[in-house]
Amino acid sequence: MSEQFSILFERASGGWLPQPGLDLRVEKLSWCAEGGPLQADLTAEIADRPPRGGFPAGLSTLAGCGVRIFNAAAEPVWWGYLARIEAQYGALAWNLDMRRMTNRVAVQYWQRQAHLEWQGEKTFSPWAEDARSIRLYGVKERVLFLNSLVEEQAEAARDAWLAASSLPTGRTTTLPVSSPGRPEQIRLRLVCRGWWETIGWRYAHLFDGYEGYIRPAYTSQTLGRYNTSDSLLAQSFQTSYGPWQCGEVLVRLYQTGGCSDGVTVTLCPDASGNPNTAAPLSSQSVSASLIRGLHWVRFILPSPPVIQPNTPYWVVLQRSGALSASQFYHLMRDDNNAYPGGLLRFWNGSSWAAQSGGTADINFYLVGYKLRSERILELSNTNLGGQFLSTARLQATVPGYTLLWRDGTLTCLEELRELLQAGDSSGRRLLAEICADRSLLIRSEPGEEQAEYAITADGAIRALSGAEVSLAWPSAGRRALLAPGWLDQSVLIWKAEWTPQNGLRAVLEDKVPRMS
Amino acid sequence: MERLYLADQDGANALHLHGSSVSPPVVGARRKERLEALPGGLVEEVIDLALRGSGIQTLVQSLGEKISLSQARINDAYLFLQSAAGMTTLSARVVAGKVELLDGGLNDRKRSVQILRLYLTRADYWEENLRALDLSNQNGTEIWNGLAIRNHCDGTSGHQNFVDAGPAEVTGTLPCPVQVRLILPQEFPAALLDCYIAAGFDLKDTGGAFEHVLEGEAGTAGSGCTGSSQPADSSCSAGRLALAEWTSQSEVSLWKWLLSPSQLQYMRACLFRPLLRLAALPAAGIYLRWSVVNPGGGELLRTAQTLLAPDRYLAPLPALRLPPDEMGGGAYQPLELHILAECTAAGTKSLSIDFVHLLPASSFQHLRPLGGLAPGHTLISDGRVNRVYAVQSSSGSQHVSHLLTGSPITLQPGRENRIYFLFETAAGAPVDALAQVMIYQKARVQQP
Repeated sequence: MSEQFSILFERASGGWLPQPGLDLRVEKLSWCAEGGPLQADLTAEIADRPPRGGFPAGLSTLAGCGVRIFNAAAEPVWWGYLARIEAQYGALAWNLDMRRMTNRVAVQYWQRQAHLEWQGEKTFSPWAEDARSIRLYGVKERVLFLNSLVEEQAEAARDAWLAASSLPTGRTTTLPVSSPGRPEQIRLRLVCRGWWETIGWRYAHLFDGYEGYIRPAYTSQTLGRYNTSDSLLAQSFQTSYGPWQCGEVLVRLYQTGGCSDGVTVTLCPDASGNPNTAAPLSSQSVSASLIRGLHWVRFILPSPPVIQPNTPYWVVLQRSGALSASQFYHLMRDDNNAYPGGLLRFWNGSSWAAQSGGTADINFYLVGYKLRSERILELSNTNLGGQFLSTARLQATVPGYTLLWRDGTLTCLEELRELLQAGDSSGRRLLAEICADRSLLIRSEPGEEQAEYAITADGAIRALSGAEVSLAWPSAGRRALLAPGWLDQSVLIWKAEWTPQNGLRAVLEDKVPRMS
Repeated sequence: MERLYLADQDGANALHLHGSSVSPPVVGARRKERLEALPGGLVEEVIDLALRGSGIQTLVQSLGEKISLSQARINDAYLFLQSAAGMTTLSARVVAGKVELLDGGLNDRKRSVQILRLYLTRADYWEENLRALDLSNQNGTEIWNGLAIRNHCDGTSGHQNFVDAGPAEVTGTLPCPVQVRLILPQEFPAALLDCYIAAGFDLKDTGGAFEHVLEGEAGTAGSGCTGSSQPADSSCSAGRLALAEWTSQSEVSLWKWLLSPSQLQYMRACLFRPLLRLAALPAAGIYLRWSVVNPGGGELLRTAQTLLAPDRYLAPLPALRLPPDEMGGGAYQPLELHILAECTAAGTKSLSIDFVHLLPASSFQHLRPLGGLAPGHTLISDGRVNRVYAVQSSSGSQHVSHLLTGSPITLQPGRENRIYFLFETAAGAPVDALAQVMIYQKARVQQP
C-alpha cells in the first residue's frame, strides 16, 4: 500500500504558492462519483514549541488555497482546496474552517404589504459583500432566511452576519492531550475538499424568466365576437435579457355562453410595430372546456421559440372557431399602461389598431425555459458556481427543459444535483467530476456492461486483470465487477477511498450518507 | 568495531564514542548486536558508553543537545561507524534518541566507571561517503564531472538525452536515491522551465537497449485522423515531424505506434510515463489519452484524459503499464499504442507530433518551475532528502527555483542504470539544447 506523494499548494486562481515547509503525510484520499476528488486528510507533526504569537496564525494564510497531490510518477491524483486546518498542542486545540466563512450575504424576508399585513411578499435584500475577502478567497455567499421583517431590520441582520463571518477565523478549544509522551509536539491536520463543493458557494439567483402583467386587471376585454373589434387581439412584450426560450404563455380568461371551440395563442415576431402573423414562431390552442370561470389559462408551446433581448414580440389571441355574438371569451384589461414593455392591439378588419390609445394591456405572462444541458453549463459559469473551474464539458445527451427562473433559495450545487439526477436521454443518471485541469466533466452513468475495475472480497479496487490500480486513474463513478464473479454483476463505485493501511477501497452507493 | 562517533553530516564537530580518537571522560562504547526494528524503516541503535573521570556532566549535555537538534531538524547529527580497520566508514542520520544512566549510575560508580546508555533511532541502513558516479553516453565514457546530454534522442551521434551508470558504478546493497545535477551552461538557450528526470534499470544489455523514442513520423494515422503529413523540420528530432488533423468534436484515435516485441521485453510490464514533444504549441482545449490495443483489435487499457497546456511544447501524458500485464517475461506480441484526442471546438484541429519518449515512471520527477532558472545555474535534485534547489555556478549561491513532484531518482546497485532528461525552456523545448549531468551517490548498505 506504500505510495509516494508530493503535495503542492497553489493559488486558487492558479500559480504555485511558496510551500509551507511541512513534512506532510497523506492519511486519507477520497473521490466520489458526484464531484470527483472529495476529501484529502494531511497530517504533520512539528517538534518545535510554537513561536510566541506566530503559530498557528501564520498557517491560516493557506486556508482556501488550492492543493494538488501527485503520485510517484508525478501524475496528479487528487486536487481541491484547503478547507480546514486543525492544530493541537497538548490539550489546546485550534481550528479554522472555510465552511464558517461567508463574504457575500443577502436576506430573504417577507416584506409586509400595506393591505395584507400577515401575508407579505417574499423579498431579497440587496447583497452586501466584503471585497477584500472576495479578492482573497473567492465569492462565498449566504442567504439568510428570516421571518417577517421590515427592510431596515433585514439589512441590519445581513450586515451583522457579514461582519462576523467575512474572514476565516480560528476557534480555540481544549481536547484530550495529544501525544502524551510528546507534549511539546504540535499535531497538524489539514483537511482538503474537492472543488466540487465550491459550486455551492454561490446561489442560483436567476430571476429572469417571467415576463408580463399579473396584477389583477378589472376591465373585461372580449375575444371572438366581431370581426372589427375582437376577432384578433395582440399583446406585445420585450425583455432586456436574453436570448431565452418562451415555453408557456398564460392569459387570464373566462367565457360567456358556453363556447365549444377554444382559444389559440400564437407567438409572433414584430413587423413595424404590429404582429407579423405571417411568420408565427409557435402556436398552441386550449379547448373551451378548460376555460371555466375567470382564471389563468396555460398555453404550453410545443417548441419553445427563442426570444432575443430588447426585441418586441407579440402574443396573438383568437378563438379557434367561428365568431359569435352570444358565445365568446373575455380577457382582463387595464387601460393605464400597466405593462410599460408593450401594448394591446386589436384587428379592426383591415389593420391593427391600438386599444385605448396604446395604454391598454391584458393580464398575461410568459414562462421562460432553458435547455437542461444549457442550464448545467450555465451553473458552472465563472459568475455562478464555477468561479474556481476552468470550463465545463458535457459528454452526455441531456434532453428537455428546465425553468429559466429560479427562486434563489438553492445554491448552484443544489440546482446542479437536481439536474444530474433527472438523467440523460436514456434515463441514466448523470455523474460529474472535476478533472485535474479543473474542468467539470458531466457524463452518463456507465452501463452494466461497462465494467472497468474489479472489487476484491476485501473491498480493494483492482484492474480487471487483477493488477493494482494507479490512483491517477479515476475509479469513483466507474463500474466494477464483484470478484471472484460474486453475484455475477457489476456495480457502480460511488466512492473510492485510499488510506496507507488499506490502499484503494470501494464504497458502494447504499453505504454512502448523502453529502450535505 | 574500529571507530564510532557522532558528528555533523560532513564529519565536523565529532563526538567520539569509541576508537583511538576518544578523549576523557569517554573510555569506549559497545553496540547492542541485535537492533530493534521500528516502523517507517527505522531501527533503534543501543550503545553503552563507558565514561570515567571529570566532564561527564558536560558530555551528557552535549549528547542530549546533538540528539535534540537533530530530532528538530535544526542540525542533523549522524552516527559514523567503521567496523574494522581498513573498512569504509559508514554513517546514518540520527532521527531521534535519548540518553539514560544505567541503574542511576550507582553500581558503575563503584567500579569508577559510569555507563551511559544511548538510544539512537536511525534509518535501517548505513550510507557510504558521497561520491560522483562515472557516467557514459555517446558524448563521453566514464565522465564524472559533467556529461553532455541533448534535449532529444535520435540517430545522430551525441544526440542522446540520457546517461548510463553501469553495474560496477552504482554500489551498495540497497536501491539508492541519488543527487542529480543538471548543469546549464551560459550558452543554454533560455531560462529552464519544466524539467523531467526519470531513471530505470535493465533497459540495456549485451543484446542492445530499450528504444524509448517513438518518433512522430514513425507512427501512422488513427481511425479519426482526417489528414496527415510528415514534413521535414530541422528543429525536430530526426529532422521530421508528424502533422495530424482531425475534425470530430468527440474523442478519436488520432495517431498510433506499434510497440515492438523488443521494446515490450525491456518494459517488463512496468509503469512508463510518456512525454510528448510537440513541434508547435497546441490549441486550447485538447485532451489526450492513451489506448493500448492488440493489433488484431481489442482494447487492453485506456488511461484518463489529460489537457494539453497551450503554452508548453512538452506534455507529460498519463502513465501506463506496458505491456498491460505480466505474462511470465517471455517474448511478447507487438501492441498498438493509440493517442486519443478530443477537442470540442468545431472545425479542423491539428497536432504537430515530434516525438514521444517512454520514460520509466517508478523513478520519475517533474520539476515545476517557480519562474525559471537562468543559464549559468545548476539544478540539483537531491533524492536523499527529497529536495530540489539551484546553485549559481559562478557564486555558489543557492535558491529554490523549482518544486518537486514525483519520486526520488533511485538507482539500483549492480545493474545497468539509465537516467533520462527532457526539459522545457522559456524558448520552447529546443531539441539541440545542451546541458551537462553529474550524479552523486551515497551508497546504501544494510549491515548490523
